[in-house]
Amino acid sequence: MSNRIITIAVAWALVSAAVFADEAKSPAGEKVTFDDHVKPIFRQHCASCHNQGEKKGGLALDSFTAVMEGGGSGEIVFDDGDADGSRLWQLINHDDTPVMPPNQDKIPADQLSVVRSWIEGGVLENLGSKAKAKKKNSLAFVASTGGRPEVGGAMPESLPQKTPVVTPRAAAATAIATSPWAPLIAIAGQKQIVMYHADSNELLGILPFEEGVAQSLRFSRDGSFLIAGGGEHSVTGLVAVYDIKTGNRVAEVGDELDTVFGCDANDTMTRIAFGGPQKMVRIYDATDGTKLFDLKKHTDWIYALGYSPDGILIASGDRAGGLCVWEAETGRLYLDLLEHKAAILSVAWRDDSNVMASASEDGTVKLWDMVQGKSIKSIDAHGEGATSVAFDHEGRLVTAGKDNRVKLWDASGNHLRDFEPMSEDVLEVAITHDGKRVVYGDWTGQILTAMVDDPSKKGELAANPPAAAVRLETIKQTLVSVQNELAPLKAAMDTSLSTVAAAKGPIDALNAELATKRSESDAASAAADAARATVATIDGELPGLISGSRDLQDSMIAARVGAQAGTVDAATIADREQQFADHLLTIVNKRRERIGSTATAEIQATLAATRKTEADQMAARLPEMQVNLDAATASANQAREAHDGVAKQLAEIRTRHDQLAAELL
Amino acid sequence: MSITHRFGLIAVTATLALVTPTGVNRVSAIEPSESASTASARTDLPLVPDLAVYPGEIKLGSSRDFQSFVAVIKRDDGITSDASDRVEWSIADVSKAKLDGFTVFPVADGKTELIGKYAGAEVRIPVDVSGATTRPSISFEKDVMPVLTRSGCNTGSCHGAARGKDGFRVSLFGFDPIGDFHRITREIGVRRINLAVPEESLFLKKAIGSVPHTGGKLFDVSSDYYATVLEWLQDGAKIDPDNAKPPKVASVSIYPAQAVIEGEGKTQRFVAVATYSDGTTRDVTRLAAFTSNNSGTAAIDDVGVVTAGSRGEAFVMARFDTHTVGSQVLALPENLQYTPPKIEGSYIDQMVALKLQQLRIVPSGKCSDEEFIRRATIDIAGKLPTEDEFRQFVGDAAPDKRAELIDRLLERKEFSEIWAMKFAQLLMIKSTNDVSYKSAFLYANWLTDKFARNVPIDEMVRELLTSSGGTFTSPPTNFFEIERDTLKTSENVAQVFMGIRTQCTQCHNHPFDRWTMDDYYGFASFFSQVGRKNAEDYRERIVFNQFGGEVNHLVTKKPVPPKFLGGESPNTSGKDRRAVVADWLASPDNPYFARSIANRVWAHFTGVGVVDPVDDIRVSNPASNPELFDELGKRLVEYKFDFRQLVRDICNSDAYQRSTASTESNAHDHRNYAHAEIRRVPAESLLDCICQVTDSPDKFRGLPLGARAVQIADGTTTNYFLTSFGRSPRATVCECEATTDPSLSQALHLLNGDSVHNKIAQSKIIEKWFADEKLPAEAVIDRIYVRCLSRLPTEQERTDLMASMADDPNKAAALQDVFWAVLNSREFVFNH
Repeated sequence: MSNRIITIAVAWALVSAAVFADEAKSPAGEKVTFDDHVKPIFRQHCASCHNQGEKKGGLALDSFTAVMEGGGSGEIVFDDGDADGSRLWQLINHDDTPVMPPNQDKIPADQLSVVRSWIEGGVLENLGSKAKAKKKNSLAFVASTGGRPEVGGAMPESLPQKTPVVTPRAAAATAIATSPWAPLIAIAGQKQIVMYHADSNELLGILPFEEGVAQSLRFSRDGSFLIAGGGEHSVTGLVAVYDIKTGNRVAEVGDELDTVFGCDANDTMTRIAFGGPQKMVRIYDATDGTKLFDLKKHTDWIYALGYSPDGILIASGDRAGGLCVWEAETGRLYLDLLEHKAAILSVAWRDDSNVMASASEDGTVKLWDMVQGKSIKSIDAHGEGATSVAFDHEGRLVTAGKDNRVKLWDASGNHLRDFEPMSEDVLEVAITHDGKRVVYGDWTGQILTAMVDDPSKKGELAANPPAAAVRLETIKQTLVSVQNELAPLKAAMDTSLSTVAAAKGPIDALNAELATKRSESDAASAAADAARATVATIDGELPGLISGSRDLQDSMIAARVGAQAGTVDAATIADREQQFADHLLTIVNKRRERIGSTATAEIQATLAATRKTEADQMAARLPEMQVNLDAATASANQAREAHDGVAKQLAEIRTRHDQLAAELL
Repeated sequence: MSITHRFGLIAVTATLALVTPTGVNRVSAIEPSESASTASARTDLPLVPDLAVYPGEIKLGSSRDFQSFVAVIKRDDGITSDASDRVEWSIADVSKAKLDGFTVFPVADGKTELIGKYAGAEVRIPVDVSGATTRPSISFEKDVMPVLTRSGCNTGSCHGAARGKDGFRVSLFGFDPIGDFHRITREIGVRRINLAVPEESLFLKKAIGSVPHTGGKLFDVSSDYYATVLEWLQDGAKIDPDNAKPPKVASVSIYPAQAVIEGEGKTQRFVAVATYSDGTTRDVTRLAAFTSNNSGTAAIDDVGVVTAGSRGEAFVMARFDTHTVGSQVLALPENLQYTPPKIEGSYIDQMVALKLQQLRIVPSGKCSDEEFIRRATIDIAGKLPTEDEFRQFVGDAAPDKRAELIDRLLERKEFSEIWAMKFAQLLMIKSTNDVSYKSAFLYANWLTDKFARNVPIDEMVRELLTSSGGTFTSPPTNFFEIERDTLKTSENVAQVFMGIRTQCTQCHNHPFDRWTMDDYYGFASFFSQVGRKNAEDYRERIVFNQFGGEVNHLVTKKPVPPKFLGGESPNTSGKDRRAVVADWLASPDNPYFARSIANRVWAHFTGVGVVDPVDDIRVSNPASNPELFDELGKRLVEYKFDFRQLVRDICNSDAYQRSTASTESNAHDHRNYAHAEIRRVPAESLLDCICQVTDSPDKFRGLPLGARAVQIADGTTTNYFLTSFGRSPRATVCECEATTDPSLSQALHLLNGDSVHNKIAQSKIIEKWFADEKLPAEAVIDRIYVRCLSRLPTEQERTDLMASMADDPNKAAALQDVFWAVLNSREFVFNH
């Protein structure tokens, strides 16, 4: 929470700093000054009370000094060009009470506007006065307070692509930096800083550095900004800050007479410190470009400088072996570390800010404990001189040296690994945010990246990228070649898809047939079941019917007996016989039905069994066919993946191509 | 008739050119140029100019190569003029070479000739073109380093300073090219050069002044210097690989060897040519650094053009690589009236006269007998002539009485004492914390004994340098005790016995001489095996050869095998290296030893060495009369290093016997012996003279009363008089330790100090003459004058002195005052 408040406060400060007007000019084009323009107005409206004799409210407005002094309630006007914040303005413009002049009309608008433009012009006394320098850096960026950003480190989104200077070869490596939180590498070149993707080695963009060559590159703690110090030897030096996403230069400080060799910004990006051949550590306010401190202590050229990650300390090393640690806030010397015997070429801080490493031409890399204020380890890293040192997030160190080597050390300074030697003095080294790659460059200008786990896996990066047009041409060629690459992949994918289809056809047919057989079988067994049910029904009915027939036979016999007895007429006998016959017929039918149904049941059962057997046989053929299908599908998937990968690459290349092409237009 | 070939000059005889006007001109090389003036004095020949073209042959070895040339016409009277723009130039075979201005460029391989024609004279210079199609890549050592040196980057006031300048250091005058290469390219790999954009290299931008540079702009973007460095950078700023180092510079020449320029403001172009160890040559006129030792007379600019100034003599020098070479330039006014006097007399007089003739200087006449006896006695014996000697000599009518006087003086022991003292100064004989008084005393006695016995100086030096044993039993071993540092010992040997100062080359190649660091450490190696140990007596030490020990080269940090200065590396295994170097040093063939000793002797008698200072013999400090310089050395060798003989030659010469009065033409000359120099009598001799004339001896430590200051053995023994009059403190081997510079304390001491006043008071001489012998005041004054000034007072002086003491009742005291006044006169303290 507190972080956010600080952030907001900083942002506010930056925004307000941005509100600045040029030296105000009167309509005629001349400067608005106290003596010429404002004093008559005050004289007319105010001076009867606010003169140096009367001094109502402790304020006098009849002399410039008195105006600047202010009254009983403090200063009434500031030289920062902020009219609305001026008590004087607030009162005469009736923005606040007591309105001035009291009990009178407001000062006429044209005179008010004169006073306002006088304030905005920097409250000049007379024509000879100069407005305070306008704040240079309209910084509108918000920096986090360090540590890993929630969304990961910034990656470039729309960097410039033009190559400011194209050279057939690179000059000696002057600076290499890696983003602390993203796969991003920055390499200094001629009037440019080349940005590469750490994983793909892809050129992401080129930041122009018109002033010359950057001698020092640092990422801000959150990885959103790149701080580049350098210039032209013996002519100019400065530090510039770039926004990683857009490549815009958002700030620049310093106006040195020689280049800058070491620079860094604090954790909140409010201050920038740097040093160079002028032997002074200078600390600037990053927000408005004003100089805060000139620290004079080094007796020779400052080669290296770095803020501690927490922004509390600054380490600076010089050509004579002097190594100083300063309190960043006050500019006071904190430690004077006197153990190196030759020039200090590089300093680096561990993430916890408790340990600082210095690489020296005396061949050693020393680790310094900031709490005890002394050296805790001296590594004989590179016999002919150590040129560069960097920490990763685990506290491991990479070092480079004039023995043409790059070495990796664990957090206690034990040697872990050698990287393959280069052909000349290695001058710069950095390690990527994930600790998986080191990037290093030598005197010849060759820049290599190598995997920490397998140093033989190397890639090469150019500090002198070819011209954008050439790169566009290359991309075009790549595009074509990728397109060419894609075509067979697509064909292969199509083929494999059709193979899949071919493999699937018989299975479907078989399955259909299988279904028919199965339904037939099912129907047959249902029929058998129905027949059996009929039999059972009949079997249930038959005893009743038979006993019924006996009853009917008995009644017919009785009738016949009755007829004989004459008690019964023939018709009745006939009826009775008819009934009996009908009944017998029913029985006959039933019995016959039962016979039929029994047969049906048998037949249907057999049929069902047959169909089932057939179906089972068919089903046994399925798995084999399925395997074929699976294989075909798998290869089809593979083909698709291959295709899609290249297609994605193609799309990316096309985007880059379009970007580059758009910039070239 | 023949013309000159000297220093590679090729000239064509005028007569031959006339006889065969269309034929091939014969080129002939002939005798030294001195004869040219006499030879061309013949007036019956048609006036065909004596034309010479330099360099005498031109070799072009690659398409980059070129050679500039210069033509000189010499008039009958020896005046030369630059004729390059008057001569009609052509190339015999234009398919081989071409001309651009006064420079030949290669076209194709082969041989041709450069032809110069002027007023009937024709000169042909062979031009040999090879490798015309090859364009060798720029070499750091051969091409870039000379640009640095030429541009002054590596001078002591700039980046050549021990701590560099503004954060950048290179080796002084480029003695360490490999180190320089590393400093330029690798020391701050990201700053000085930029291989991506070579034009942006700070190294170049500083030199052309496009960025702020304390040293300012050194050359232009359009210059060949810029092109050379830029091409080197474009090629990747490589160093010459170990297996393909460029050839070393074997020699450098500057042409013409002599120029006699008439008229202020006239110019003469010079051409410098380097010859490499592989035989190739190179025009280094644009790479050499030119200097003049007298730019008021001959100013030289950075492309070798000399502009004549005021009348006089100068030596213009070209320095390239480790070599410095020079040419003599004489500047004479136009239309000078001069009748050369006859050249006659001893070899010394002939040589001096020849030089004076070149300079158009008329020498002064001979000094008077009075002047001569005083001058010779002080110089040879360090005393004043006695009254008897004076009267006898002045009264002598014999024509060769001066020679006889010289012979007599040379036989006196005072002569050897003076030289023993001089060498004692050079050998710094004095007692110190390390060297006991006894050692110093024995050492001084050994030296005096050598001179007294007239031991040849080569023998003495050999004995000195090879000495072993205790410092008591073998006193010369003190040489290695007084200075125990190996490097300093070798420096001292070079300076004392060869007049060569090698001190510079301990840390860098000599900027104004041929000596390199290799030479320095090679020579020092001879003294690296001197061992020392304590003897029984704690005051004594034993010096021995320990057959081991080396000196490491400052740059390579490796031992350097012993190597003679300017000579070969002898085999010293199993030998005492000191013996090897002593044999070489004192050998008659050694080019430095005899000349240096002879020059010291000469300087003692004339006040100015032929090379001056006498112990700073170097290329850039040339002899005012090289022939005389060589001849004196040769004579000393011929005399088997007996320098009494040499002194005899010198003192008998007119050059020594000239009057100190100058003539109109020689008043400003102090280097060519056209008149005698007025010299202050050295401190010891002056004190001895005062003691002698006042007849009041001094007492010095370790010596009996009456011993002379010259005889003092221990350098620490002194008194106020000797110290203030510039007695050598014997702190270094420099000849300059003993001074005769005037000072206020000297004047005050003579006026008020005890030396003069007390001695007069003690002496009783005046009382003796005036009171005892009852001589008249005039006679006493005369005797004072003869005794002190070796002359009688002039009438005027006598009258004035008598008048001044006329009122004085105490005549004896007045005469003492006269005595005091004479001793305080400038005439007394100076040898004239």
